Amino acid sequence: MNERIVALLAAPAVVAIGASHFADGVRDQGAPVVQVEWRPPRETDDAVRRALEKLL
Amino acid sequence: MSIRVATLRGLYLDSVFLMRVADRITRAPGVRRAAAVMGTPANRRSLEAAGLFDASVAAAGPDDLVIVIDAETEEAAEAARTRLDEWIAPATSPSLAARSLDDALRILPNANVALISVPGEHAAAEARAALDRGLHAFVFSSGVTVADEVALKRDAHERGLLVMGPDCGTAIVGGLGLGFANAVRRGPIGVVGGAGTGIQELTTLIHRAGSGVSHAIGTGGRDLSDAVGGITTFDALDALAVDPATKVIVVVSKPPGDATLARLIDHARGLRTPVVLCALGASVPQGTGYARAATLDEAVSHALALTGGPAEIPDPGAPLDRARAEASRLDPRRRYVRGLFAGGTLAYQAQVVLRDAGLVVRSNAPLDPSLRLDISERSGGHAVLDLGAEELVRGRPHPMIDPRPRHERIVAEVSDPGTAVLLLDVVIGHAAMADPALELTRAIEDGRRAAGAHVAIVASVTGTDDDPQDRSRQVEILEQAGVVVLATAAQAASFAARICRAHAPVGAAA
Repeated sequence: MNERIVALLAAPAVVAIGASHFADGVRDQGAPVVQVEWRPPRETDDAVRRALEKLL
Repeated sequence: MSIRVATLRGLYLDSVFLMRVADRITRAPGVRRAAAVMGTPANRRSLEAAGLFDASVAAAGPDDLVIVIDAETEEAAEAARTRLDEWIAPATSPSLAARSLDDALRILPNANVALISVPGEHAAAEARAALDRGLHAFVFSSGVTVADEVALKRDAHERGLLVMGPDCGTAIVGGLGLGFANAVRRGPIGVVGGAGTGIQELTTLIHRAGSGVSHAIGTGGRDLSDAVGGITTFDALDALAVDPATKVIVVVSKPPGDATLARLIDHARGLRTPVVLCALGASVPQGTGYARAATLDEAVSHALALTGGPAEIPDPGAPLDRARAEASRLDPRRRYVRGLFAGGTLAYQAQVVLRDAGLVVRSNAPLDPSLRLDISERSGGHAVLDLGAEELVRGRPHPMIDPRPRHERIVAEVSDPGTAVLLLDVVIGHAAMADPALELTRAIEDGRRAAGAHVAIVASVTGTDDDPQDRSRQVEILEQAGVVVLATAAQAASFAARICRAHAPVGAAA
């Protein structure tokens, strides 16, 4: 089996991005989890990112 | 009545958290109603429609948190408003540790999966960022385009990673439940599924029968469509086929695309591990080298038999005389089954079971496009509604977290003079609401008061006694409220059909 899937199935460790109650669910089961304080990107950020992507 | 509005500029909080904020404010003295939402155009329109509105709401933008309090007096409204910091305080707790994905990976360098539940339009970008950092992606969010899904899955496949989702409700990897998942024993049965509550029903029935689950890998509902071509399903099958703990694999889905179903059958035949195919509502051809199951119950029976373990689904369905007794209490004009589901797969399976019992059932997620029922319509004849359907949860919490949408519809259906049987699912487990049975019984009481006549209420509880909500306790609460609780969701649908048949011959009722 591919080793990245083996690692996931052997010892899952989670980064939660979005609704915090899913991270709570992981924590309640005793598994490692970090919650990212996510917020929607601003439209101007999107425009800048697209412009940068074109340049790079 | 007095309305107070507070707008917090640039404070983003997720919809589940905000539902809880509104809930806490509503319990404050003198408060009649409260709303806490991001100021998107759709949310502003809903606030206006609900009469929770003033000029400052109109000025809010999608990055602004809007809190509206409707209280009985000026004083009560003002008192609630001054406690805003308290209402939203838990959002700024230190558990929200990382400011970015890279920051999170510095804190937890061995992280290997990203659990993504951001609004759909941002989910593909977050999944891409996760794959770029070598993480598998579990994408709970719906609303990702098919093109983005295909691109993400192809890229993941190249890198040896899995994209579970989008619109993936459940996975259990190495004993850890992701999304909505139940506390189940580990054991020899592996599951691959594009059906979130289908995985929950399967894994909990396996547990309740005394067996266990090695891993359950969610794929997202569209994975087996011909557009996506089963990229995650095939990778997951290959992984489980060589996993030493997995002795049999169950694949569960709604109907796959024709070409992908043919490839799936070929693929299943080529594996040394036996495969059970449960494509609800699809006609899977009979063949050698795999087993077929028409319902989740049948899939569990096959899997148990193939592992040589106990081949029993928990208790048989309620007996026919119980159905007759329920039917005898009904007004003759009450002739229809009305199913209100939090679980999409369970809603789909209920339609398959009711159809096979001879009923014509309409739905917002129908087996056949000609049977479509818009959620805004009255149900008319037999109807099954999936209240967690993608179009109903955009920017709102799922009905497994938020009881309010189902509460309203339960009252409406029980009050409808055509309703004979109300068919419900209760899905418990990690991340689901704390006491769904209690929430349902409140709605049922409101409905009965409004109806003033008997309606048979039939339910199933998907979960285990090891879940935080305790399945036995949930069953007890429902039974005390006069609900007939069956052992499985398929049995509940079948029992609902029995009541209808005992009450009115098939054909007359359809």
